[in-house]
Amino acid sequence: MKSLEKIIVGCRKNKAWAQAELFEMFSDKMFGICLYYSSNKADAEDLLHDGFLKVFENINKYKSDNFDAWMRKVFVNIALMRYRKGKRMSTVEEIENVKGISNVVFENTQIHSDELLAMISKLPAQYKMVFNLYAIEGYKHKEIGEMLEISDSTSKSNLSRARKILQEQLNEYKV
Amino acid sequence: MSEQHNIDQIFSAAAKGYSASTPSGAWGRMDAALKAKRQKRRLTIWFVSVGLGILASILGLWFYNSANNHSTIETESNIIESNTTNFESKADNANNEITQQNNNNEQATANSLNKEDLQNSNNENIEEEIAKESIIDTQNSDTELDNSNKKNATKTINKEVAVIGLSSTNNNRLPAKHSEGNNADNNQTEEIAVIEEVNLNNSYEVIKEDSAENNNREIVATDVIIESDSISESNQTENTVAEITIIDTLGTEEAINPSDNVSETETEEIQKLADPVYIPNVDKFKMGLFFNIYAGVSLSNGASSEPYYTNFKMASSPQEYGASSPNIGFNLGFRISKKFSVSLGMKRYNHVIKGDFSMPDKRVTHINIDKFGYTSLGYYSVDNINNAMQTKNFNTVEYLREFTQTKVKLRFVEIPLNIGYNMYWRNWAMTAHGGFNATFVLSNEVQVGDDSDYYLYGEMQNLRDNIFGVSFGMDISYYTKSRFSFGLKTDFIYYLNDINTSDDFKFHPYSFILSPQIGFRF
Repeated sequence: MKSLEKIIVGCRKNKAWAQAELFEMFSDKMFGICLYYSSNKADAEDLLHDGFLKVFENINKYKSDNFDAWMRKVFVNIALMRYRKGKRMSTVEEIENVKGISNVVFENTQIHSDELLAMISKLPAQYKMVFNLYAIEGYKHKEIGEMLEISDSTSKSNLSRARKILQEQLNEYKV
Repeated sequence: MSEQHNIDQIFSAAAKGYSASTPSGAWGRMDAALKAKRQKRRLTIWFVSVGLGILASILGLWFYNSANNHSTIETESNIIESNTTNFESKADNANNEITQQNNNNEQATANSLNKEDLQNSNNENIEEEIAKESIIDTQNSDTELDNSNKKNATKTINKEVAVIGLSSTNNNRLPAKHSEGNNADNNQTEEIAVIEEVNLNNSYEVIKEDSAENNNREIVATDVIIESDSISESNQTENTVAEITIIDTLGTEEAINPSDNVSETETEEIQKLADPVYIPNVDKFKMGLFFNIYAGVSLSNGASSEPYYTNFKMASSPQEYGASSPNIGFNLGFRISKKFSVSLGMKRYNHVIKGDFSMPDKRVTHINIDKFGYTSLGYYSVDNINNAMQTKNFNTVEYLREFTQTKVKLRFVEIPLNIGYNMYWRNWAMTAHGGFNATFVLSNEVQVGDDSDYYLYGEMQNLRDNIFGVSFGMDISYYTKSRFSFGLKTDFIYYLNDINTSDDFKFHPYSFILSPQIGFRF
């Protein structure tokens, strides 16, 4: 396999081999992110598709050292865009048939990461977005408010409720 | 608080290290999308390259012609200057002859330019004295003159418009040198000859030199228009003679090419110059190539009726509407005559039909991906619904019931072959055209969504690769003095074939196209 730099250069030149290699290299990881931001597997797959297309289109704009983080940001932005677009469609589905590759058992919880993902997936869409953006991506409430077109206080309230739901679910596992 | 922080940490750590195996077929789908993008990019590059190439060719031809005209003008100026001298001396000689004859109280005889008319003029009043002025102004001519090619030189002169006026002695336009010379010899006689070529870039104009007493004019020469308002006003006798004098200036031409005679065609050309609505710019291109490029908007039709076979239990578009889309194209044509032209071109445009989306009222138990729904154009498939249907606990039908509209976009490349009938009025031309079109369907896309966006994508099934149609329309163009013209093009295209091969669908598309256009005449 070629080095990441060569693959990026190839992608910038619109080379099919480079795009295939990049997809091969990052698709599993990005699909994991997509699952976190989607309500079902089909949405996640669409998000993966759109995300990679966006990455290939905008790879010339990539300048930072951390390609992984840049890609993640692209995918999160696409997820946000789709969320705003599909706000009206609240189709809820439990992602419980997805098997993660990196299914780690957390020491203090004894919970698999797939199960954690399933818990997040059960959250209402807006709670899930707020929680992901705050706890996983590290955005502030003000930024989240702007991204999701809600007020700061709504963001705080959503986060609080999301935590509460997740805590309850974690407690069930502990029991 | 620490508990909350702990929850955040647990999920953050789990999410950041999380990866899941990509579904099979994900890369295939991605690859297909990337290929389509590459193809689109290639097509765009091709269209832009062709466009730039055509533009460069036009500009190149234009600059080439401009450079040629410039060098021709310089050459012509030299030749015409020398001819002017010849003409002046001829006119002087003629005048001297007339004056001498008048002084001898003899009937005026024809001079070397025009014997008969001057005879008539002199018959009226023997005592009349004629003042003479020759102003020769040559500005431009558009035919290349070659000193070594006298035929060409003659043609150049043929395109000049010359006005020779015979006026009274009071005329202040006499060139000092010329008038002094004549006055010295003959105080009462002046002859004014004006040759004025007003042709710039093939535009002709007749300069009139009418006196108050006489408005008579006559086009007199075959290749040079001579207007003579001859007023011989005698200061002594107050006897005014005004007469149209026809002066044959063939001698001037003969100074350049004595052996070259004026053809009937050239005579006709000269006669056309007198026509007030005659447009030399247009008429000059009796036969020749022209090129038009246009870009505008095409409006297409929606469904006119329900499909022939209506017993479908699938999503439908009960009401359809035409929609607009941009178009771009060019025509390369040949003007067979002043009135008729033929052209062949290429046009790229989309046929867009919007429609309402409707799921069957009855309970839907399954959905056919390949024949998901139908519009008047035929069945269509959807691609991305497949993933949604695989999802557990996902109510696909409820999801679909939220959609309200469909959009079908057919991408066409069309080869129009047209015959045009041209009508002119001053610098305007109106072309009625009609012909046949061979239209190739490049691709088609169906989108399903709600009022704000489209979410499902697919394509029409069983469409023909190419259809044939008839078209007619009307173009209006303004012809500039250069080779360019600007105008508005209209086209109505009606397709003769059903666009779908299935007997269930009988849809004939038609389009109305409105485009501003720029033309260039070679």
